Amino acid sequence: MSAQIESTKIDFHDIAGPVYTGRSRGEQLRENLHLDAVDASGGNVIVEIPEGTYTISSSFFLGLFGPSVVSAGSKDLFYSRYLFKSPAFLKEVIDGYVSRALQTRNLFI
Amino acid sequence: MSTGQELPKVSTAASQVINTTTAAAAPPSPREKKATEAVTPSAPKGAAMTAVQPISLTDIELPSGCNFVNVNSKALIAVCPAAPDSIGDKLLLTAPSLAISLIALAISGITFKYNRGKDARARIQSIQDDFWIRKIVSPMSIEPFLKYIQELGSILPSASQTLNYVEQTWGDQAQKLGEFRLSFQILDVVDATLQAGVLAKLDELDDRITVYCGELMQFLDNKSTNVPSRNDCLQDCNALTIAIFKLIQASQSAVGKAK
Repeated sequence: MSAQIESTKIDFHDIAGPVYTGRSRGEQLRENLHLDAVDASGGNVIVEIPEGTYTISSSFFLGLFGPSVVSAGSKDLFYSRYLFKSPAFLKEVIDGYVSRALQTRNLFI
Repeated sequence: MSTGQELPKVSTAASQVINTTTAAAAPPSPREKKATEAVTPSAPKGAAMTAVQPISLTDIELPSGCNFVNVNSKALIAVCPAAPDSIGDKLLLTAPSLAISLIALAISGITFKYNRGKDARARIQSIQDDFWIRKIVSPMSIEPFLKYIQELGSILPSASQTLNYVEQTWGDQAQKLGEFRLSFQILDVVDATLQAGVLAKLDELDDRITVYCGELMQFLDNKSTNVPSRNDCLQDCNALTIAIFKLIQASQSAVGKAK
């Protein structure tokens, strides 16, 4: 009998938008969503970003997901646990943020 | 003493000559003459004789440590060692030169410490400013960033453009600012505090452009909002750029200074 992995859903409908900025705001949201505990349990996270979302700044994204990217260690491992449902133009931008989080981690190590 | 003449006591002086000759004296008795001859060599016959009162060496009381060094017919020479000076006397004589020596030593120490500190500061400045800032950070981060900010006035989209164009432009700017963020991380080598300050300002710059582009997209999408001010955005970006350069300038000015 295989153990069932819990999934957490993050819906940007529930977060005031449609423009998301601010590292502190992202970090506060991460705390409220207990993402550190979710990462520790190895659970999956579904992130729904609605069509009406226009922009997400790197500071907000990295405040919210940065530690998860770093702890995953690679893009593939991160995306295997975090499933993003977002407008097409945001996918590319978000992918750039994930790369940056990993580069920042590796730059001086 | 048989001569009836008192010799002076030998003092503590280094040497003293004790003259035993007297100019006018009674002719010696035969016994005295014999005693004198024991000390004085006999004069040649026919020479003028001066009256000499002979004394015995045993009659002379010398202070301890004194010794006769020359005994002849005319004089006795005794040498006494000089009495040692007291510590007070020695200090009185040596205090000025000792004080000057100590002052010179202190000045030498202070000069050495100052020069060493100055050399260390010059070395730190040479490494951090001349090499890291000028050769690495400036060409890699500062100069491209300055160029980007100068071009931002023409890059930043306006309400006359399409939604897709604004989306694409914002994506490009987000990527560009991400690259600057990475390149400015090299500042950690120079000053970790400077790096944190610069990255925080870059976050603010990114947020400001993101807010402007987001509001512009919202306006272009449904026209239900006001057009965001492009000039305000550019002014804010310029102010943040100046803040970044001031941070770097302050760090450069502080290089080598004691914190």
